Amino acid sequence: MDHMSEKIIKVLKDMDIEDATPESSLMGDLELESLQIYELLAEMEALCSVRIPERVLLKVDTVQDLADEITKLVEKKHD
Amino acid sequence: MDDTKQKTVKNVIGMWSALKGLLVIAVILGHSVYEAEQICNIPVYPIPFRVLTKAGGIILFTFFVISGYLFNPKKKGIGKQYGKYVLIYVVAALFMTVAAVINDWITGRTNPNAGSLFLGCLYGASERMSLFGWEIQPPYALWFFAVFMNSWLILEMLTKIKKEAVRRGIIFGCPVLFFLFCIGVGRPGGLILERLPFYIVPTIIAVMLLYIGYYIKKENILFQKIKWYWWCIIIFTALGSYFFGKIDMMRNGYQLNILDCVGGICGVFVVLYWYIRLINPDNRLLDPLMWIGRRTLLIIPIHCVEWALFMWADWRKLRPLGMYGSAFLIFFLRMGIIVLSCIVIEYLQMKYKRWKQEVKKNGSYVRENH
Repeated sequence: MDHMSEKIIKVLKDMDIEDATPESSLMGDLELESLQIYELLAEMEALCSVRIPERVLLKVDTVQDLADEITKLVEKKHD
Repeated sequence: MDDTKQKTVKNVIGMWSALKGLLVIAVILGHSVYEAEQICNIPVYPIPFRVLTKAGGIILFTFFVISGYLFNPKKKGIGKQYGKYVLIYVVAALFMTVAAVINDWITGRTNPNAGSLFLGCLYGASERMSLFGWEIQPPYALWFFAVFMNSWLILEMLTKIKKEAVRRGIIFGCPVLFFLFCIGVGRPGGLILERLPFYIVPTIIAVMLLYIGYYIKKENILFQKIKWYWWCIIIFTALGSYFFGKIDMMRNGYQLNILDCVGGICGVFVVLYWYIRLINPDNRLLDPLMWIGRRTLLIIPIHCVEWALFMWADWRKLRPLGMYGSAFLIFFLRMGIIVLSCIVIEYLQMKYKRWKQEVKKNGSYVRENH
């Protein structure tokens, strides 16, 4: 499990969402509501000090997908 | 998961956020048109505005159905989430009251607004009325937020009922009872029971709409092939409601009784079904719409506060601009205020989150080293 996925899973645990794995689908397996997903994005923005554009939501299904997108944004910011 | 369902899950939240953003813009424009009508005193709207205001009911219905589509029953934390909604409502009510006080003071209003607005928030008023000698007025668009949070809570509770038949009986039975009641008392078009506190009837309708959205998602109906005769019925009912009916969700107005409600739902289905097929997710125009859609529950309270602060309908100096000029000027001013307010609030929220995370990190560092 990569570092970013771990961060996301920890944030989900703080949101009382247990049993998340990198392969868990946000809306499918974890059954997150839209507000919870927005809350997750906001927490990750604060944690990683990066702005996550809403367009990312079109590309992510699983925790790993979100981790990959956030990692790309963080690397882009540091370049 | 097959390809169709993959598309459902992977793309859906972003696409629905964009549609919600478009609906929010339409609502704010519709409200600006209403203010412009007050300013210009024009009895008949220009055709584009008439088309928009006619669609008001279906816009609200669509909003609830999308929210239902994005709904998932929580295993725990319902009270905590509802508490957050109540907090937003209370904070919005307080800010709105302060804004109204400022407006009353600046305009030197002899009949102050602030008190009646605050009481309207506490009571959940759908119209101007007198209650035990106190004047109260509807709290602008905050009624929608109240209906959303209460219908969400009721649906969460109803999903705990194990028997599907009982659950559906309650969800669909209550609105049907309301429509039968309207017929029974000789007011088939509704516009009754609007003096009940806290938008009881709109909440009942909203619970049904949320559930319909949830059901559409669960059964994957948007990605199934619909037979031509069903399309004929759906489109015919939707158009019939649009042209001959009128939905006023806040005041329980359904000109064609249950046909308006069914027609509205049919209209929503048409919108959702074709939206998800025709809109290209790669279109960059979706980005600002998704930005707005994500912040809907923040925008509604801000919209109410700016409404109370500026009381646009009093801006008679805009009259020379005419209906279009006044409406669009008010609309763009409003959107500017709303977007700026969202940016400031989110900046403060981000600062607060980072501070909390630092405190948590320092707390664990201290614990580890002792």
